[in-house]
Amino acid sequence: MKGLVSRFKKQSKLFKIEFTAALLLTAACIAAIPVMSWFSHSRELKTAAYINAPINLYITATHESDSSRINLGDINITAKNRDGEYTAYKNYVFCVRKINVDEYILQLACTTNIPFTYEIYRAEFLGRTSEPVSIDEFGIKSCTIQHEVNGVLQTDTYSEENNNIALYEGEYNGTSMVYAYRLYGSNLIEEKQINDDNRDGIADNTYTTESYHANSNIQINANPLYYQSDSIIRDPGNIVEEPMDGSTSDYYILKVKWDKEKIKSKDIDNNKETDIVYITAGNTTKNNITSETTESE
Amino acid sequence: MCGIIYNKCIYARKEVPSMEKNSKKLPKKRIILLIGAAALLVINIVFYSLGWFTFSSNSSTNGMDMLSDKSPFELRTEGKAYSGEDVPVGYKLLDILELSDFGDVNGDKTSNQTGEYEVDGNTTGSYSVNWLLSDESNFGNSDVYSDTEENEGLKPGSRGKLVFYIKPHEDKAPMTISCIPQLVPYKLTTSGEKTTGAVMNSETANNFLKGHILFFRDYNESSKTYSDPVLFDGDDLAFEVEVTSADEVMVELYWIWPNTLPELLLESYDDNLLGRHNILDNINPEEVEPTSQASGSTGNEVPAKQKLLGQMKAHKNYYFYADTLPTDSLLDDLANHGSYLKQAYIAACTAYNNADQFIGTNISCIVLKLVCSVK
Repeated sequence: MKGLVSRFKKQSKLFKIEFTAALLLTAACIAAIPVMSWFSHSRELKTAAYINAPINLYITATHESDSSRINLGDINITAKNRDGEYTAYKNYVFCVRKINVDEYILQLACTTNIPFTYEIYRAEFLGRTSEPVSIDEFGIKSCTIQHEVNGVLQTDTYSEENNNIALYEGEYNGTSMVYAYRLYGSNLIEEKQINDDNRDGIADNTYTTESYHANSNIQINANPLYYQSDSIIRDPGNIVEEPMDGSTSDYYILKVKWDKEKIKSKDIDNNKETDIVYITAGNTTKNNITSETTESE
Repeated sequence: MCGIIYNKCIYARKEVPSMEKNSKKLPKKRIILLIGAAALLVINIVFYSLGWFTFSSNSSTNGMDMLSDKSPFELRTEGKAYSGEDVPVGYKLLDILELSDFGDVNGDKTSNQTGEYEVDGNTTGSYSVNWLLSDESNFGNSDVYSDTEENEGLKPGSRGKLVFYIKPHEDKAPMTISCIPQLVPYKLTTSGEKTTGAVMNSETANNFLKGHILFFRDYNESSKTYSDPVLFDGDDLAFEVEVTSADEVMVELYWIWPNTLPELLLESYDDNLLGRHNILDNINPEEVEPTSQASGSTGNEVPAKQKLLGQMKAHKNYYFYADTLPTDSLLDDLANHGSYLKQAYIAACTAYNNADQFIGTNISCIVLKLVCSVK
């Protein structure tokens, strides 16, 4: 050993460097073996998924139309049906369009100057026609739509006299069009007031501070009443033609109602006060891990 | 003779200065050799470093055979059997990304699929295999991919349960298995009819995935809350599974992409959580029966919400996308139903949503890898 050391010492500097490097390298390669061996010990699972975001959720009028204002001022309180009875309701169609949204809630906020009540129902699209809407002598609107059922052309007339029907006059590809809808199911915001403990149609003070950044000197009818639906998922039985942008649409009917007796007692007339109604949609997280195929309502 | 010696001496005298000159200036060939050796050494050192930080105490070797020692465990994964074009998008996506090693799903052997596939390093020649998808995984298991609501691509609000099994080899238990979930963002590009994918080298994208797609070991069906989070604490996230006997251990891993910030921080009675529910367990575990904890979990000393809040404060860049990030005190205030300012609350929610939008706008798809090794 001593001989080897002294022989090593006698070697040139260059030899010493090279020898040391070779020694280190050999040691490094040997040490790599257990490390490699460890890598062979690990096990790995892998899966992949597309990202379906960003999300979009917005309220529009029907069929790719821009959102439209619902003009409460245009409501004719004294409108009557053919039997001379007050109709005491008005239906408006709106649409929730969304991309990458599974579940959402609907919220309605309204001030309460006019004694209206508001209900929201799901709506079924019945069809459209380029024929203009016809208005009879009672001011009742109706339209006639042709459907193809099992290869046979069928004609149906939809009248707003039926309180489940709503007509919407809009445009489709630059042509004036009348769309017909029928409401179904239950009122999605029935008993869903979140700030009306007394159920008297007047907001309590639960959210007054949030609404006005103040909690006093607020006129009670100016204090908005808030409704909020349960989580809503798409109705698989009511999927109609979709726009080409990947979005899906759910149709709803807002039913504005008033009390016939209040017309007679003059508590309500066409000289209405000012009220504001907001409808909003917000997405929610799925409540269940497994995907549902039925309506959650 | 003298003449010869003399000549030699002269020769020797001439040689000495020549040698000295050479020793000062190395020949090019030697320099290249030295550089090569040094490079090899550096590579080895890097290799050890990687190995060291994930070192297994059970590893061993057998002579020069680098793959000689069998893993003390295998992973098993169960899922549906598919055939032909009906395979879920997750499998197709792995093919596109050239990560799939499971040809039978698409191939001729599909008809023989029993829906169960046992991972075996010797058979597959790979330690990495496709995670078979079940209905409840909600991770790439839709049958058809399209831009409609029917597909199960991930989006805020998505959630699911991933299941796998750890199968110890004989006489290898007990042991502790360390499992590391990794989310890798990919960007897809289509040229003609061919779609290809490449890993995104975006620190921002990687960070947002860490904070927006969360993993948990436990889920309470009745309260619909998660507990025992598996969080990125610094650079890595891992959970451990104890294998106590030779029996196979089923491991459940819950994942969720929360929809909104309030779902993580607010309480159910909070006014600003309207229409939503809080998804994190906030019960002190000392008040919970031990049996309710996930099997094999490492314990749950701090409620999930508090753990997440701690991580959120430490790594705001995982959660928020804004010029001004929410302050610690605001996040504390939100989590503890304090008297937070409405404007600040909205700003924090928007910053959280912006990060979701960043993920959706920039990342085409993600690969989830779960690397398991003996601790």
